[in-house]
Amino acid sequence: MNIQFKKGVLELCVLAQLTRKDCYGYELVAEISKNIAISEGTIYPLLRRLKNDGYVTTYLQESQEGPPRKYYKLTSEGKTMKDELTDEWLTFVERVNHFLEGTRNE
Amino acid sequence: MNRKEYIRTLRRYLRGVPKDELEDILDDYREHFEAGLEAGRSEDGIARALGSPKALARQLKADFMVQRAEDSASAENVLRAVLAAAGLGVLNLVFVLGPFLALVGVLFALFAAAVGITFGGLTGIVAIILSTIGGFGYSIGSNPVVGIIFMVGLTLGGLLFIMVDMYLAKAFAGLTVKYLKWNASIIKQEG
Repeated sequence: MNIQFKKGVLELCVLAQLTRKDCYGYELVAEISKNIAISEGTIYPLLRRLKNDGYVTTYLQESQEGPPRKYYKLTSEGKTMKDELTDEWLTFVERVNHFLEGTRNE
Repeated sequence: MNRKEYIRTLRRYLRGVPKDELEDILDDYREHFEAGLEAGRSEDGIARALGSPKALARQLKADFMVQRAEDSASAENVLRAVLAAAGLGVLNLVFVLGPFLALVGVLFALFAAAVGITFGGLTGIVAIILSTIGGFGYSIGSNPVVGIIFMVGLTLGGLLFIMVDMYLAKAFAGLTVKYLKWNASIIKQEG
């Protein structure tokens, strides 16, 4: 998939996954890369940006084995952002589909 | 590439990022390796899936510099942010550094002009006073009062021009940071 396209979509996927539950970094990567091929490292700069912009917060929690893990939690601003991006995405997809159907019938 | 090399490469290309922030960034990747190993993956496999540490470090560094410039838009912070963002690839070199340097040039030229006008006015005032009082036989216009008023006006105009230019520079710094933030969210990273 087009890489620039994916960058915006990755943000939406991260926000969407975090609406389901709080996650640690690796968990987010694992969930998202089940469906979309991503360069896994780019998720951390993205999470940092989301944190700086106040869309997520972080907290540390012990893991069964090894050191504690950093969990990401969606803020109410993050939730609003997720809803907005979802609407934008659905509208966009709908229009592109509509256009594609139009070209196929010609 | 194993985990040690990966972290070392990240650290090398994150030079200039303060220690606290640097360690916080590295911790994310250490944790990622840890979790990946637990999931049964190899260090090399995890490293490959993470992508180029060099490109990642450049992105993280640029993000940090831009964030710092946003928190405090000093000339130094903004310049560092621009340079870090320009280092992200050829496209950014063209779309960030080029326009930035051009606009800084314009601001400098305006500033030089403003300073020139101010000094011109001040010199004029001194010249008129000297020629009137000292009788140097050097006169600007026939009426020294009109001349003085003109020169004072010129000086004040120049000072106003300097203030406007400083205001423009400040606004420019703010816009630069905004642009860099937007840029960070759309420009793809290379290599």
